[in-house]
Amino acid sequence: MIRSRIVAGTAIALSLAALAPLRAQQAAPPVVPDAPTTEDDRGGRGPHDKDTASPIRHVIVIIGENRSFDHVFATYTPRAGQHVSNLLSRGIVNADGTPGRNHEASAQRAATDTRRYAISPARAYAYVNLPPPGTHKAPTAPSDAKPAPFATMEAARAAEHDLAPDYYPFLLTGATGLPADVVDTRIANFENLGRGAFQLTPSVGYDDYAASPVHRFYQMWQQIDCNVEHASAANPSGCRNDLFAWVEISVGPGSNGKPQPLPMTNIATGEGSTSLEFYNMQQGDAPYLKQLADRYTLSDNMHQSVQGGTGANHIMFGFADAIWYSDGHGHPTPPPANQIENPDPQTGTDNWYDEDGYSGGSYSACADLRQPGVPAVVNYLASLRRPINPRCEPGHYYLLNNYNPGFNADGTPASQYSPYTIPPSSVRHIGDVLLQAGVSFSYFGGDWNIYQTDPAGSNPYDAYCQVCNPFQYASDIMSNAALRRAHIHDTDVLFRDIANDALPAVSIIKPSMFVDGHPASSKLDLFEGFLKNILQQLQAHPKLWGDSAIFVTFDEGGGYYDSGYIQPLDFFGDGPRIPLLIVSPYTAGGQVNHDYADHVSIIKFIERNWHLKPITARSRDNFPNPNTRRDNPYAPINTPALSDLWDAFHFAQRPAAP
Amino acid sequence: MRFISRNGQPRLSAALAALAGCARPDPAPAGQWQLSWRGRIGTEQARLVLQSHGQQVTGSFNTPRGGAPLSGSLHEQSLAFTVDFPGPPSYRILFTGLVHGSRIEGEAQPQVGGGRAFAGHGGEVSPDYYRWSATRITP
Repeated sequence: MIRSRIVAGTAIALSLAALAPLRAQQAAPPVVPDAPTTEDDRGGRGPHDKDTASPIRHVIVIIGENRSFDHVFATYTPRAGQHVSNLLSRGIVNADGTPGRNHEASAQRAATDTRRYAISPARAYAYVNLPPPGTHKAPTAPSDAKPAPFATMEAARAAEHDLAPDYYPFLLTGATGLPADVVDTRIANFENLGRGAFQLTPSVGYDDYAASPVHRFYQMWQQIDCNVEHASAANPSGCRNDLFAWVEISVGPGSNGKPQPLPMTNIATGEGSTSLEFYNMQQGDAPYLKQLADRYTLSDNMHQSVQGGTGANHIMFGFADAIWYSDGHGHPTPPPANQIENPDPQTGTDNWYDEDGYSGGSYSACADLRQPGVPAVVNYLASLRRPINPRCEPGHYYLLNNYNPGFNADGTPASQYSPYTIPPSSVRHIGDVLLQAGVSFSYFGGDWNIYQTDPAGSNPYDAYCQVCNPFQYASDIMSNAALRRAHIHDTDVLFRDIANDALPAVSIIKPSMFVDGHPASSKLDLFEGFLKNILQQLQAHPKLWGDSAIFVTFDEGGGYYDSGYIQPLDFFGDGPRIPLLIVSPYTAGGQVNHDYADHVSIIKFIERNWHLKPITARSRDNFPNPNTRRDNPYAPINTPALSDLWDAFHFAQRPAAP
Repeated sequence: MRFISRNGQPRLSAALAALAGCARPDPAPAGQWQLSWRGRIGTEQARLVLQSHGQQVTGSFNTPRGGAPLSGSLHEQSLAFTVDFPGPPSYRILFTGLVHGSRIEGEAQPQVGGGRAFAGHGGEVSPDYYRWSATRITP
């Protein structure tokens, strides 16, 4: 009964959208009849797959988890003639990872916020030494019952299938040997880290698990500390990136509406100053990512598109917009009261949010300045020299943090398993654009096959990321069995499609949570192993490789510090920089691209390549390409602006061999 | 426990459950139980059918997607049983709990495969991951 009501409601919404195609956030039109799908109906067989504006016939997007640009590429040095903006080039650190002449630029401060949420709260004091980092929930010991890491290769191979062969041993290694939520005593000088960014390795090995810093919406707005009073020509948004550590220790991943723990120490949230850690490529960390940067094109101006975590950033990638709480039939409605964000500090506390967390507040009606937290962001956007429209529709409660998508794999409502589920969404997404244009696409999610029989996540082998699949939020895809079967697959189909030279025009690839690179639950070397496996298989098919553009990026910076410029685009973001590698025969040469980009830039590339219109009249893919001053390629002067990344390619040149 | 609902009417099921608990100090678990099981993503429901033979416990664990046999033991109030789920891939979960009349509460522990308390995608952790409880339906 519930399902039939959703389908009927969707149909009504779809009809309205067809009548008003330019209405803000219109619903998706019906695109494909609900008919059985055969193997021949998917994979490289869209009628307009080859109608492209470039030699690129395949766009492949691979999305890892939770690493900021400086966290990974802190000390990367490009080839002669290229410049990269990172901790090393800014003098924040030296090549050996020690503090550089300009280390103060990464210095963190403590603030105080006791009355009302502020994104740039008053200064309390500067740290002499950062609060010692914590272990949070990083794994203590290998275990086949509680991996990762696994205790035996047999269990590891049963759980994970997608690594390059030489990476499987890393599924067994790297446990901390320490309890959860204590100071991470593996880190050298953990009590004397100084005031800013510090190298995690080699005292903690590159192959070791470590804590995961907070990266929720209102926390991240505070961490980057934006204030127009600090704006300059080089940094027109005035974001100082100096509250990462303080936010970690003062609120961490949120209160869930509960009182502040007592005593509230620097390790009470389990994190300490985890966010200031970085890896050092000069000393061998992240070798495969470095190899790709040396060989192809690296962006040093790619950003997470939403302040916050995985779900919101994958949604922005798929919709070029945020989505909102509804009645499940396309009508905005308020969520339950305890699901509304309230980042105002609880009485008597310093920055302990009143209602925020995984089982707490996650929505904000950002068009309403009476809503908690909203004025701090909206007033800041209005104060900028070029005021930024928050792009919030009245009465819409936007999802800012991780909640389950509205559908299970079989199209039934996910709310039957968890109250922390956004209702089915009728907002138009990139899949609708591709379907209407006759361009094929697939989402390949690791462990999708297991998840189909495990909607509550009780199967211990199930490491599928349900919040990562943008199409799983969408009524038109998920309520249509034919569309689900045609466009959502596990990675076994990905590898079969590669082997058969049958990849769809657009492939979105998400690893399982064991190998997605997320700290605490995965490691960056495991994501490298996942990536290497895919790229090697693509390279073994020269025709496919020859017309592919592979965008390797992350969902967000994971709460790790980054020193880069952040352009405010609207209420939701942008956030800090994340890595982006553009791997293609047309991007070879070890170049560094500085065009301002976020996840929606990849959508813009797809749209330009296949002659497609923006998703809706208000989606971010309407933003123009950036114009910049010659002396500052990082900050667009025509803000809000997003690159389509077209200039990262050299289509006039002869394509390079793998 | 609230015995009065928001509209002022008695919550019959809650009251009966409490009475049943008071009247049944014997922890013998034989019968049918409605089980709630907290997974990584949400809470799943299952129907538990238990038979007891002395300290030995057998039965079945039935979800909307199929059933699986279980076996275990009861020592005073402490119940422990394993369920072999067919998957794929197949996996085994150990359920442990305490029987309090018409209610059982405890934790579930995977015996192979994933399942650690995942530090989630916003840095969150689901605190009550793999907790379970059951309420007796029939003796």
